[in-house]
Amino acid sequence: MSELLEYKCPCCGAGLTFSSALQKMKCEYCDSEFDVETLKAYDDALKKAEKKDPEVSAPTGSDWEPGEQDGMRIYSCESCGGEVIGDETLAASACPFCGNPVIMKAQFAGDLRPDVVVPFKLDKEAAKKGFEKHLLGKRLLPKVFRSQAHIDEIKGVYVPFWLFDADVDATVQYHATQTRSWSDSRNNYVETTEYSLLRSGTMQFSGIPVDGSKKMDDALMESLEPFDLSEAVSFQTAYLSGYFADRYDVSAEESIPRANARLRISTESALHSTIPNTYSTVTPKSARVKTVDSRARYGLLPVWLMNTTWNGKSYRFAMNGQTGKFIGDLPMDKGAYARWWVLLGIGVTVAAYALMTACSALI
Amino acid sequence: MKKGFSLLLALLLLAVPMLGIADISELPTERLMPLLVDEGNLLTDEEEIAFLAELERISSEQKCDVAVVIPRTLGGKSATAFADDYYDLNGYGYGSTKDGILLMVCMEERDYATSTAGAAQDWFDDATLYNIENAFVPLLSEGKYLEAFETFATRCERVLNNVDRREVLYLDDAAGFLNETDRNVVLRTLESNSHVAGICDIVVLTVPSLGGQSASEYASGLFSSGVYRHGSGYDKVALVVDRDAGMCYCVTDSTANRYFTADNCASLEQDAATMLSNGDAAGAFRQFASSAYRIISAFNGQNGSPTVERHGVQIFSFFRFVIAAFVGLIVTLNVTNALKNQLKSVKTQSEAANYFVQNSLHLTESQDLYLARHVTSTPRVTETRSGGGGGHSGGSHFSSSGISHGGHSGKF
Repeated sequence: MSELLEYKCPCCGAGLTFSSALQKMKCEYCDSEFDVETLKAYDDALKKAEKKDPEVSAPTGSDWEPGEQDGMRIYSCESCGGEVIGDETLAASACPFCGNPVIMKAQFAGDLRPDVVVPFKLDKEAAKKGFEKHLLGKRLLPKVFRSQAHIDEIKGVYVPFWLFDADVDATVQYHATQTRSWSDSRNNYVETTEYSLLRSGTMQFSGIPVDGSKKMDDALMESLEPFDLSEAVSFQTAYLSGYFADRYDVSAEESIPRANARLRISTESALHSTIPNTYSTVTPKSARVKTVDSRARYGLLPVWLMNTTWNGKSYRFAMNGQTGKFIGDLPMDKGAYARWWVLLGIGVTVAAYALMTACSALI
Repeated sequence: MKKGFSLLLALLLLAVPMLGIADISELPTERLMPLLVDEGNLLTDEEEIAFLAELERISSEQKCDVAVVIPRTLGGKSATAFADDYYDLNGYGYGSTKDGILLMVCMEERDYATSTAGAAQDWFDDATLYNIENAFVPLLSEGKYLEAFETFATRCERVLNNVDRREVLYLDDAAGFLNETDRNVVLRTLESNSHVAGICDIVVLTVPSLGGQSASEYASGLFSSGVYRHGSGYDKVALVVDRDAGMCYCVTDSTANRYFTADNCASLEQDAATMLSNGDAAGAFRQFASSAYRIISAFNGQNGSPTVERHGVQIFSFFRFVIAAFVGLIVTLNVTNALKNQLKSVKTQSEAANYFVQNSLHLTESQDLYLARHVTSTPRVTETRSGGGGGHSGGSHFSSSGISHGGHSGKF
C-alpha cells in the first residue's frame, strides 16, 4: 500500500486545494487561504510533533489475485480510508469517495522529484470558456456538434515534461548569389555573383519541453506551446493539490532525440539570420550542430484536458493552463464541405467570367 | 629605339586634346601606332614580335582592329578616357566606321580598360566584355601578362568569328550616297521598320555598278547568303541602286512578291528615283523604308483581321470560360483548405525558437567568400540603336574627340 499525501486545513481539517486564481492553497469549506510556503512550514512542524503511525490502514475486501495488480497502484485515502486505485504513473488525483485531493508521495521520491512546476493560472471555468470559443467561427464544423457535444470530463493535469537546456556550437556553410541586372540598347543583362558563406557560432537554448508521458499525445502537447518557464517555481507537492498529475514514464535519454531535432532547426535558423539580405539566394550546403553542454530538468506543466464523444467518436481537447492556448481537432461536416466546393466554385467561375467579359468590352 | 619613338609619338598625340584640338576631321585616317605598344616592358622583345603578328593576323582576318596598349602612365586621365583617346588619336579602327577594340593596361595604378569603337561597340556588348575580362584579368593579377594578352586576343577573335554583322545586311552603301550621320539615320529606320513589320526585312543596297549583273541576281546573291538577321524564314525586299547606270530597282525574294506586286515595286522605284534625282539619297531610302513598311502592314491586316473577326468571339468565350473555371478551382481550393485547416489545430513543433536565450548568439566565424561572376544576356523585345550603357558604368562613353566608345575599366 503506497502513501498518500493530503493537505488539510489547519482551521477546519477539510482538504485543501491549490487555487489558480489566488495562487494559494484554499479551503473550500471555511474559505481559509494559505500561502504554499506557510502551509509547508506548518505541515512540517505538525509532522514533527505528531506521533507517527506505523502504517496506513490495510484495505478491506477480498485479496487481489496474483498478477492482477501489475501496472496498478492502490492507495488508501487518509481522510475516509477509501481505496484509490491508479496506474503506476498516477501522482495526484482525488479520492472517489470523499472527493478530497490526494497526492501520491512515492511518485515524487528520489529521482522522481520534479525540479520545477509551472502552477495553473487558469481555472476550470476558463477551460470551459476556451472550449466554447474554440468552436466559434468554424464554418465546416457540424452545427449539431455544438449542441450535442458535451464535455465528458475536464481535468486539470500536471503533465511531466523534460525541459532541456543546451549550449550549442554550430557551423553552417551556405552557397549564396547576388544578382544585378541592367540593359543596353540591345540586350537585357543579368550578372550573377556567387559566394561561399560560412557562419560559426555558439548559442544557448533554455527549457525546450519534451513530453515525458506516454499517455499524452506528443503532438497535442507540443501544440500547447509555448510555456513561459520564467514563471516556473521550485516543486512543492502543494501545487498539485486539487489537480491530477502523472510522473514521467519516458526517460530523459529517450527524449533527447526529439529535443535535438528541434534545436538543430532553430540553430540553423539563428545562424541564417546573421546573413545580410543583400544576397538574392542563400542555400545551406552543409551544417554541423554540436551540443557542447546540455542539462535536463524534470518539470510539471499545467494542462486542462477535456474529452467529448460525438457520433461514437472520441475527441480530446487541451488548454494550456498557463497561457490559455486551446487546441483540439474538430470533426468536419462533409455535406457543408461539398456545398462550399460547389457554390463557391460556381460563384467564383461566374464572377471571373463576367469580369473578363466586362474588361474585354472596355478594351 | 622603337620604344622610345613610340613613347614620344604617343605623348605628342596625347597632348593634342590638351591643346584644345579635338576636331574629328583632324583625326588620322590611318593607324599611326602598331597594334601592340608595350611601354611598360611587360613582354620580352621576342614575345612582342610574336604577339604583334598574332594581333595583326586577327585584325586583318576579322576586319576589326584588336590592339593592346601598355602605357607607363595615364597622364592624369581615367583609364577609360585614356583608352578612348589613345584609340582615336592614333587612328585605330578598321574601315570607315573605325571598328576595333583596344585593351589598355597601365602598371602605374594597376588599371585596365577596354575601349571599343564603331561596329565593335555592338559586337562587344557588356556581357561579352565581362566574359572576356573574367578570362584575362585574373591572369594580369597573377603577373602572367603574355598569357593575359593572348587570352584577350583569343577571346576577341572568338567573338568576332561569331559576330552578327547586321549593319551590312540592312544597308550596304557601297556607292557612297550617304554621309555618316545619314547612314545611321537610314540604318535605324530600316532596322526599326523591319522589326515592326515582323515578316520581312527591308534592305537598301547601293553599288557603283552592277557590272553586268541584273539587280535581281545581285540582291538574290545576298538574300541567299543566309546572313540576314531574320534568316531564311522571313521575306526580303531590297532597293538596289546602280549609281553609274542611274537606276533603281525594287527586288523581292520569292515570298515577298505576294504583297510587293509589280505595281507596288514600280511605285517604290519611281519614288526613290525622283528623290535621288533631287540629291536627297537619305530621304529616298527612308521613304522606301516607310513605303515598304506600309505595304507589309497592309498585307498583315488583310491576312490577320478576317480570321480573328470570324472566329474570335466563339473561341475567345470558350477560352474565357476555361480561364474562369480555373480561377474558380484555385480560389475554391484555397478557401476550402483554409476552412478545413480551421478544424485542425494539433500539430507538432518543428523548431525551438521560443526557447532560444536572447542575445546568446555569439558568432565565432563569419566569412563571405567570393567564388565567381558570370553574365547572361537576352535580347530585348524592342530594339533600338540609341541607348547607352543603360545604367551600367561600362556602357557608352565619348572620347575627347566626341566619338562614341564602348568598353569597361577596372583594377587588377
